[in-house]
Amino acid sequence: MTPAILARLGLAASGWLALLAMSLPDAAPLRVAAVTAFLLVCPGLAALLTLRPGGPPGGRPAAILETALVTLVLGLALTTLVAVALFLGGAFTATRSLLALAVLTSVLALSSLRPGARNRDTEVHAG
Amino acid sequence: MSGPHVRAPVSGSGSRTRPAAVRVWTSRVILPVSLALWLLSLRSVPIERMRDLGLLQVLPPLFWVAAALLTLGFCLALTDRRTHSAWLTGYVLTLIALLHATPTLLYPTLRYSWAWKHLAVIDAMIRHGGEVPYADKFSVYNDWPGFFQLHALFLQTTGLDSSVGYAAWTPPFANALLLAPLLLLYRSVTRDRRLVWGAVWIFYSCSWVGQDYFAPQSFAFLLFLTIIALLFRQLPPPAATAASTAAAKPSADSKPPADSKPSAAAKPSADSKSPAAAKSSAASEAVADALLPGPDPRRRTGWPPGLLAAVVVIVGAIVVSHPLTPLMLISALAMLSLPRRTRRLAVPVLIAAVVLTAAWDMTVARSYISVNISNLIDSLTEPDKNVSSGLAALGNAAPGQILLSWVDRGLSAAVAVLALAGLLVRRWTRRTGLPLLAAAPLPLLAVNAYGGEMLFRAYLFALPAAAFLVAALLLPPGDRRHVPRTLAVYPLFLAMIGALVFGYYGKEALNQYTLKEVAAARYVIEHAPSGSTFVTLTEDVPDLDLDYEKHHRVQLAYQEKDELQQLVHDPLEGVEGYVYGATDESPAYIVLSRAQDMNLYVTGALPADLPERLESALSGAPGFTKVYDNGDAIVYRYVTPPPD
Repeated sequence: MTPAILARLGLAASGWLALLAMSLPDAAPLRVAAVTAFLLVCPGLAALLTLRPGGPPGGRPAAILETALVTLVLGLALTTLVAVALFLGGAFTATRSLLALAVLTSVLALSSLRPGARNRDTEVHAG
Repeated sequence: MSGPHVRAPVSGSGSRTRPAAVRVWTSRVILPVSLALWLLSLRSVPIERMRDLGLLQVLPPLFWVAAALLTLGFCLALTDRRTHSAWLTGYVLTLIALLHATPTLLYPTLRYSWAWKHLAVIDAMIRHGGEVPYADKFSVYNDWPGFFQLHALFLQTTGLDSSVGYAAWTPPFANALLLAPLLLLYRSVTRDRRLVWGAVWIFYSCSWVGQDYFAPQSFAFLLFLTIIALLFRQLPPPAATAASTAAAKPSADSKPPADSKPSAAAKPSADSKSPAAAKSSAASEAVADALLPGPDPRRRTGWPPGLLAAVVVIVGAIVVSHPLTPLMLISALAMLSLPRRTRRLAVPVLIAAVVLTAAWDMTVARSYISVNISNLIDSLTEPDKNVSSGLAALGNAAPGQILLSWVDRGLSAAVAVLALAGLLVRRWTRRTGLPLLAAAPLPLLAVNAYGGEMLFRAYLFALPAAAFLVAALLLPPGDRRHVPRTLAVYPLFLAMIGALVFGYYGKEALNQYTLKEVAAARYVIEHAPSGSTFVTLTEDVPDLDLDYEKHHRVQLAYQEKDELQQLVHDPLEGVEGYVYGATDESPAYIVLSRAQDMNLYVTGALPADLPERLESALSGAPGFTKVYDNGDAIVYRYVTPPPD
């Protein structure tokens, strides 16, 4: 198992760990840290790995900067849309919202493991 | 044109000349020194002495020395093409900290009344599980709840009680986050690092509008700029100038082949007007072309499908979070759909933005849109009214505020003039798409007054592109006089920061609150039964909007003119008009406080002596009972006395 696959499996598990952290008391530092780290990084990164497996083009610093920016912004956008959907449906609870994001992150992270998925974007741009 | 001017300014291992080495090491010393001086300058700032120039009049000389040194160090760092990006990033982040973390470090609590309002909205949405009933003027937040519900989700999942702790840090963090899309945007149009970082510095030095606080618009602006940066990152390099393409292609209009790099050694233009000046200009254009980003073999002319999907998700988050930003995005994308070079990228996102905005506005936001559509139509028929609506009415404003208003206008006008000059003088910038981006907010000036703020909002959305045009004018790529020209912009950079602090710090006397003012509002919220009326002079009472759906709020300074005249003539009678009929079950509370007094003194919305006259009139008046007084705030409770 390569480090990249392990990292994706870790990403798939991250939401469930954040959900587990919710069993800690309100505002416990570990709970705040776990949930914050998950929300800021994991949904966005999982979506990016699935939607853009080859990574961004260009020189290395710009590609890293773009990956970091899109990870954060896409994660915030997905979290916003999940929150709005649950509130609009009158179904918002803390657990449901994190559960939805954990499921979304797992599905996206695991789908990025599909055979051939990792190089698809590169191939698209090769021509 | 010789090598050094056209070479991509990256790593180089050659040794520097002695003056160059001195400049480099000086810039490396100045960064930590200015950071230390800034922090030292904040040790004892008498913020209670702020008056009509806000923080400007209380910050010690050491603060200004730190700002001037920081700017000098940045210019010195820019003179060397091999300065590592980490140093330039350090300089920009220190500038952001100096400008935007200073109030957070100095004030005892969250600044700005609107930031407090937004905390109240999050709290109400959590309590009501979404839409807040009886929201009155806050109903607009029900229609664009994205930002608030994002924070509600965060608070609920972490178990934190309120956003107040981290909301105070929003300005420095929101600005720091903008650095990423700005760098990506600028690097997509030039490889000249001096130009890229110069534009970044100009953006932060001229961004005085103050829409970076804890608010939906600061969140949506980050998303907006990310979309624009991603779009520009997908663009093929701009068509080379006639100067650089004449040898290769007969038509300057046609796109260069995807795999051809613009040539720095190109011959003068066929359409140039032959004199030496034109030849020099063409050569300069060729140099600029050489510093345009080279084609990436993996890049194609459209969006990668996955990235387009990601962009549509981000558009969706903008649409549900803020009413104005989707319109700014649509306007920008419509502009970028005009040239062939950007059309294939802009049109799909434009379609997504239009469809999602229309769908949202016709469903969730329908109540707001239907009520306000008539205002929109009115403003369409009187566009000149909107253009002037952001300008201050300065009738009784404090003297410092009049100066401040002129400095704000001067800075905005200077940016506009310099950007226009950049567009005219540096012709290569016309092919970058940035001029269209700078002009994109202009159509919205005619459409919606947006509470009198449209001019300032348009400035903010135009600024990323305008800052680049200004930088292109001041720090042109391939400049032979690289070092002296870079140092020559130092006074201008200083002037920009000097002007920015007027707009950004000038109203801090009313934006800053004491803990006693917060305590007074908490007292009222805890003791007022549902259905109470809260009367204040202005909006500047932190946290008084908590539970806004349960109470009726009257802000005297924003009433009709004849009612204001009545209030000024007879304060007691003026207030009684709003609270008459109050009962023990639904009493009225009149809250007078320090920041409100300061607002009246600074803005001149009402005579500055009115709070004192009102307090004296309420004291002992029938039905009014002083129930709270902590030195910074006084609260009267009012119940209409039974008739004799």
